[in-house]
Amino acid sequence: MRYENGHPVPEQRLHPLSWVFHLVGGLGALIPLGIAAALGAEWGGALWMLVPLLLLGPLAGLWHQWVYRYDYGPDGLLIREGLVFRNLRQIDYRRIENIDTERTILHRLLGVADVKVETSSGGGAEATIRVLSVAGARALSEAVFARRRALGDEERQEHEDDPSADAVASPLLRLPVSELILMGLIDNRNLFWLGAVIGSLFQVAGVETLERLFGPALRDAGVAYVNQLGLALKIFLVLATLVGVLVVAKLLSVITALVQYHDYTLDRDGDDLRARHGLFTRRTVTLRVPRIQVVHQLATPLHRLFRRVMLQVDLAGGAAEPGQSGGARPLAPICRPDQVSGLIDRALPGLDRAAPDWRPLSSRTRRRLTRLWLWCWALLSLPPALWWWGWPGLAVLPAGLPVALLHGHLYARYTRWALTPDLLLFHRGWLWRRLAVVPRNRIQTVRLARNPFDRRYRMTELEIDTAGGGLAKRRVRLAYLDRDVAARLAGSLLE
Amino acid sequence: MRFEAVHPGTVAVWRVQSLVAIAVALLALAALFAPLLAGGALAMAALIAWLVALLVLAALGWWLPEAWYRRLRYCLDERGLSVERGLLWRHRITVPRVRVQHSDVSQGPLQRVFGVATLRLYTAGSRFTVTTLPGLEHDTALALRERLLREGDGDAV
Repeated sequence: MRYENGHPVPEQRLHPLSWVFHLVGGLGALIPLGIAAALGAEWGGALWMLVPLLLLGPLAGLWHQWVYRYDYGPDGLLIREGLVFRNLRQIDYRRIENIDTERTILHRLLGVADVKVETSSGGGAEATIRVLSVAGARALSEAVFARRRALGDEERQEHEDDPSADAVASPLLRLPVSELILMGLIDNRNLFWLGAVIGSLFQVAGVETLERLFGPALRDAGVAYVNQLGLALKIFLVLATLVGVLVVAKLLSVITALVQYHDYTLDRDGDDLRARHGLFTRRTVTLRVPRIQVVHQLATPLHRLFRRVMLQVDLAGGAAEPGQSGGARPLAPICRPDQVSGLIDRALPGLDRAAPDWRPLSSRTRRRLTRLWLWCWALLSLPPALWWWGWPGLAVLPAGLPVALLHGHLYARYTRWALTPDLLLFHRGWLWRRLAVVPRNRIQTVRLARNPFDRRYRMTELEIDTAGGGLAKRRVRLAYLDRDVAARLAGSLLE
Repeated sequence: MRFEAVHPGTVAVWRVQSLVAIAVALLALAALFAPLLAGGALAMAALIAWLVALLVLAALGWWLPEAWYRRLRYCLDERGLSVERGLLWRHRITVPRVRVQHSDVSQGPLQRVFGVATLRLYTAGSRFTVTTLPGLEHDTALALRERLLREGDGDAV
């Protein structure tokens, strides 16, 4: 750090190989070249004009590497970009929440890392330092957090007595390969688009291939008529498609889980939590405990089959990462139910979760949900039924009754909430079960809403806003409460 | 909790706004279709439809602000500010004092004529980051903000 006219000037430089990681930008210039070549353009004349474009990427990278400086200022991390148009950015140490590193295979071959500096303001990383050596990245992280502590975060210093040495020895959660395979089996993310792809592939190539393969055999077996043959093949085809889609999807899902969460380790980093995972792209994610707003526990039917759950946390102002809904980070992509309690204690320290007094929803919930499902069923099924069968089609109406009754009954039975001195707990759903754990001191606003149906059933919906979350399915929304219960709950949440 | 109504002047503001919007929309519609339909067989029917739409929308534009006004109430107590509003979908949102990050009191030209202002409270939340309370008297809005922020000067988060 040196000073010019009393102003700090950053001096630390990027890793000498930084320019390599800007090559990707130059590759974009290959596209028009490739298109032109593919269209059979002559190598001459105007085409050669495009070649200098190829050099733009590396040159821009070299320039960036040459002018980029960072340093530890008295109040914040200083970053200087540009020489002609200079930009000096200062990121206050106290505002820095996360320093994450990300390493693709190329990064790991060269022993470097992308460093992302995140603050509590939402919308992406405040700065991405591309790239530092691994030691440099670690030094940066340590230097920033040391200065952060030195700047007097009093409440943090009270917790300094926690010796972090034992935490290094035993991680809070480590996922072996077997758990990752389970996770892949449970996860359904790839299923939909894959089903579409394979389905259409079978449509195109399947019939003829199958006919050629199994046609003679079937004919030998006495399936004499062509249309019979066709029917048998079609049934076989549909079944094979279903099984094939399922198997391939699950296989891909397992591979994704193995690659993405390879050697997932969650351990303590001072007061905070740190997750490291990834086979090719190795990620280090720091979860700052004061930023954690809500802990969600999710159990799908498959999770319950394998006796596992998933834990996620909503972070305040969490940067929306690609593939991750704003602010949501996995705390445990998969874990056993008996590990949940310990992990939640780590994520929400000092909050008493003992013996919650669970309360049910309004006693009219069952009736309301049953009616709602019957109405939906009637609207969806009646028009086609009447169209096909005429008046006898009315018989589809009672067919929906058992499901509606069952759903109403189970939903009302499994959905419940509890208020402890420190927390609000809300458990929702019976097939997909979600538990939200909200510390009461993280609640920003409380909203009571009544739509015309709520008014008819004398119910109120209570929704809580925290600084994290945002996506629809992560909303903490207690619907179907009795009106006076909701009013009292809102009152006690705001105390 | 004792809820208070906002200033009645806001009904006039909303009426002017909605009637002007309706007038602009219907005139634009007329300007678009008049050359197409003029002298045609549908001209009379279109004119009648236009007049009916005008009457219905104008009636709505006159009546809805009054109804909104009747349903819009607020209450400031030791915990914070609660705003209740909505005709069919009714909701009450409560912003605790300690959660207010910053606040705006704004007043457009039309609002100035009728002496009302809008109070906006910003929190660090993710879904309900802004809570709006329109139709306050300008002085009331300033006083309300003053009370809200002065007494809420505790542990700001």
